[in-house]
Amino acid sequence: MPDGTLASYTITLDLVVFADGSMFGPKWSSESDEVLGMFQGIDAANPSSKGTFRAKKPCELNINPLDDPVASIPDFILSTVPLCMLLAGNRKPHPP
Amino acid sequence: MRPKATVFLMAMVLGPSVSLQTTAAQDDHQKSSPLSVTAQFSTVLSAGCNSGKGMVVQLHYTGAQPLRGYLVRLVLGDSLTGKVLTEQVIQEIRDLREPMIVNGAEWTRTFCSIVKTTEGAPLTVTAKVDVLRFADGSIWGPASLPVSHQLIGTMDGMDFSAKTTDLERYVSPILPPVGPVPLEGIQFQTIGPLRFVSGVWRDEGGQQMLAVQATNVAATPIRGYVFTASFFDPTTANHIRRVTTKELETHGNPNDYLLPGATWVAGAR
Repeated sequence: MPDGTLASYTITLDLVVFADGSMFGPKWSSESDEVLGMFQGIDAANPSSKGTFRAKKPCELNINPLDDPVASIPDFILSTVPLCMLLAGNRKPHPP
Repeated sequence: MRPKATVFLMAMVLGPSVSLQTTAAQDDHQKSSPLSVTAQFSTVLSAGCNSGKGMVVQLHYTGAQPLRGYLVRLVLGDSLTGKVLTEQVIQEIRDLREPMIVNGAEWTRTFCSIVKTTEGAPLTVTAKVDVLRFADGSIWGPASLPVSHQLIGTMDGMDFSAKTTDLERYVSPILPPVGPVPLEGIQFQTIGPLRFVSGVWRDEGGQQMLAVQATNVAATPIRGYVFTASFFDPTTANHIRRVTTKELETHGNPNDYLLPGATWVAGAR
């Protein structure tokens, strides 16, 4: 503080991710969402990882929006939206 | 869940926010998006759509920086009643080794719909770019959705195996006895599977900072955790700022998880 005293503080636990994929905590912060994404990315990029956040089809994280559109939607989205997400190949060619 | 500690911390420690990505996203979202999105509802789709109905989304990237990933929110609604029928997100990301999306790229996505619609009802699709992630790591957009933060984190997590990033150094735990350990005004608290020990630590210049270490008191190894330290004026109890700390094993190696009884140390705040 300006007068040289020290601020008080509290510690709040927002998220714990266990090795088996289970979680603890309210997950209020956006940082917790980022950490959950990091585990997905770590597990997708490390074939030897025994992590529990691997997408069902890891290759779908490495998509090219101008390639096969069927491979463009990661699985974790499929579980969060109320739409059938089959895709039709209705796309424009990439400009040269 | 929010035990109040009595140890104090010098206010001069309280520097800029550490949530750089979120801050950058908020700063930039007033500018127009370099990814333009147009969407419409169609009842005459053919291949791949059994119902024949769905949303057709056309995307056009005009940004100068190569684009690595994006997330767009789509809202399908009845334009007469204003009723929202469904919401949808489109997101795509690329590995660092893949070509990025470059200026001038155009592509289309089609989503088959199983939403029941009234014949002749005037349906509209509203598209809003929530976040863009560029090849240099910078971000554009409000990033208002939790899935946008997951998208950002996914790319960060993929990068950990490809190169050592500043972010990886930031989120990687420190193993005791290395690192700042609380030496004065020590407080103990157990929250769920973690036992926190916190207190004042002095850096080389004698500056007092908050040091926090966490021990796994559960029977299961832990891959990572997120906690927040909130600082208050001790006289007025007014909130000063909050600092969120992320600690995680970054390479998917179970041997480096926080094992039962083990301790990780966070960087001092």
